[in-house]
Amino acid sequence: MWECIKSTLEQNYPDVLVIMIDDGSRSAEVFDQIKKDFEHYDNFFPIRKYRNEGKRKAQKTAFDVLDERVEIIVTIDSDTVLSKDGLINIVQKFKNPNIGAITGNVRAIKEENLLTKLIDGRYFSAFNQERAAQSLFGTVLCCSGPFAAYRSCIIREVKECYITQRFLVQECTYGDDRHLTNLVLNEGYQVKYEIKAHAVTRVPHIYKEFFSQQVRWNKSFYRELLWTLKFYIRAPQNFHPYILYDLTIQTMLLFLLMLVISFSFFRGITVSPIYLLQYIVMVFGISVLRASYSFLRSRDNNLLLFPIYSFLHIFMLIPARIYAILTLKKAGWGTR
Amino acid sequence: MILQTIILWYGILALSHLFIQINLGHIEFLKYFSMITDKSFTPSVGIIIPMYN
Repeated sequence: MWECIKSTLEQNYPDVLVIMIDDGSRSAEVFDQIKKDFEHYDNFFPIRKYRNEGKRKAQKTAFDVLDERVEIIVTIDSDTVLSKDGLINIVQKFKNPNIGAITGNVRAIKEENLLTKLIDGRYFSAFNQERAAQSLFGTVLCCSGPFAAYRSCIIREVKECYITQRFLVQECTYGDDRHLTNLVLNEGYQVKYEIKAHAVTRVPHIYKEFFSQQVRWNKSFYRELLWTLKFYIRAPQNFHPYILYDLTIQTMLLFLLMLVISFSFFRGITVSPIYLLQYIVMVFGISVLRASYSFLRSRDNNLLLFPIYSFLHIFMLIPARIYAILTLKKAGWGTR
Repeated sequence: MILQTIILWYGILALSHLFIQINLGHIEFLKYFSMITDKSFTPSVGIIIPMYN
């Protein structure tokens, strides 16, 4: 937390206000200590809410303070550390008035732990393959929670929709980053990825925490998929065709994947394990391809570990995906 | 037979999507070499850090 705040206050950037908003933590001890430690910065404003109402409402409190005062609003997570030039780089693309939001280039804080290294490999491909491809058309579908920037005039327009989002009557809590991005796209703006805007963030280092995170991410992915499709049908002129291509392929892959898994497991158990092996080899092969490209691009040796991620994919992410679909209506974070 | 067909289709779709993503992503990556950071472009920025402990 301290590192995070320090990194925002020590940016190579002249005009920045930082609001830290405590979303009704049980104890005020940490808040008071932070307030004391950073009191010498005149651009740092700590706010404490006395009721825990969730991340979106906490952000909304800060939006209300900021959106008339600044041109760009940057959202980050409390476990993210920005690079010194993170801000100057993330705002560059806002020179183009058609761009409404930009996501930064986030990597994982690597600990001496295999899981964090594997997640870092996943982050690399999620940003430098998936988001980079979407960015070419201005259609990044998720401005990452750990580091994203939005035009404040758009935030003013969409903030009420953002905090009142509901899915099957339930109030939506997680998936805030994906929904805010969708609201920007729905306003007709482009959303881009900025490779030079670096940040690192803490990622789960135990498998149980990773599973809960993946369940939340999958739920928000499927929920937002339905939301985007609904708005695409209503106002196709607001969306680039690449969004439709991307979402169609991802939906088709999901259904095919379910069929492949069901058939592979069934045939693998009843006929021969070779059927199961076929599927494992295919997933492994795809991971090798991703890892090869990632390594060639970055020369980061850790990314060569990425093929091991395919086993995580089979034994944790697929069950997380299935669990997410079955419990799509449940809104808890699974961490508190 | 059904399994083989589904696996084949899944493989083709997943690989072609990956190939498209990597290529498009790489085009975007190559664009960065020609971009220079304009340090005089500094719109006012507000950073929000929500916390809960």
